[in-house]
Amino acid sequence: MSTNLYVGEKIRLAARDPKNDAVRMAIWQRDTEFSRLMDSDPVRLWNASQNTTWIEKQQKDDAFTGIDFTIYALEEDKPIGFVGLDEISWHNRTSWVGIGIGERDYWGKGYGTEAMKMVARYAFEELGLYRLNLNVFSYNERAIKSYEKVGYIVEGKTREAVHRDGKRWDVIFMGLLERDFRR
Amino acid sequence: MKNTNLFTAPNICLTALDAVADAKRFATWTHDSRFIPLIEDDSPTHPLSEAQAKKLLDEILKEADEDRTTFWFGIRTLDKSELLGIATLHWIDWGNGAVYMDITMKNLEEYGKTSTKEALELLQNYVFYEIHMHRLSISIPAYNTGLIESLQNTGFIEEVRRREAIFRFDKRWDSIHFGILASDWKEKNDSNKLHR
Repeated sequence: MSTNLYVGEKIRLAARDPKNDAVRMAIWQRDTEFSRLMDSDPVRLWNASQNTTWIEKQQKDDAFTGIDFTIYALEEDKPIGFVGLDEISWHNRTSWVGIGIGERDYWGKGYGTEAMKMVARYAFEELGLYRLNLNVFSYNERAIKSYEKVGYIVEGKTREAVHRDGKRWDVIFMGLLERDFRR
Repeated sequence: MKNTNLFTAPNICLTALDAVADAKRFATWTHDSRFIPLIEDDSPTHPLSEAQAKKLLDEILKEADEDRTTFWFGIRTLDKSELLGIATLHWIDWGNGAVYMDITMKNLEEYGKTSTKEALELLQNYVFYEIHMHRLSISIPAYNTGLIESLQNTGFIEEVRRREAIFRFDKRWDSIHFGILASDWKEKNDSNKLHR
């Protein structure tokens, strides 16, 4: 039998907690840099109860087209962010991947990279998926390096798709095939 | 105001979709297993009854009405007697000026024909001349070679190739993303005018 996929060296992955996570998300959403790394939509603010509704809606997904985990740092057992699969396409055996580390003290220290590796193992070894897709903005160089460590390869970019800070930035597409991850 | 017609090309026109009137033809298309479905219907290939087709069209039109980030078009012959395809601008990202497009034609052959090219050109005009987007994207399966040719002939450039992202016809295929910027479109139109 295999080991517990939800426990790594520095972090563990847990089900999202609609109440407590919602409060933390409301705090993280006020961090403009964090929000702009997460999404190309206009940065917006939601209150905790709106975030709770959103998490509960995600968890109600009967067809299992997505799953979100809360990332806990093992040392203090502290929630530091989230990672998940979105738009799982069962007949294509593919999914999109998203991650956000809301706690700045945990940026650039390998927590996100480990979470991305763990969610890839879950996708390939447990869900039987064939490939994972992700998008990253060209200004998020730290994330691109982290995804490359996991095995993701840049597969192209949509030119000038994001308009921020008075400039246009590319959206970079990266992909990870099961055979490349296992290599 | 300039007398511009955004919805008519020499051989085809763009019209609204009509869930009741178009359901029958749309259902017929899905009875060829090689039919390429709408992106909004990311389910495995399967035939739709007329009632199912109507329900799907009803749903997408209702959603488009509510969220204002998706527009639908029927591609028809000039006399409007035949529905040749369906096109959509979905996920209109007003903040960034970026939009995705999808086009589904009645059968595989149609994608390489003049009807498809003219529809792509009308959609480009709409995107850049009416709603003033900065860029237009479309992602399509690599097996749709007719559409690849039509996209290249109308100024789209390949930007992304997601390896083996699609399973169809017992094989894995790349998903190819094409894009055109407003500046590419303007340049193309200016040079067309010079040659006229």
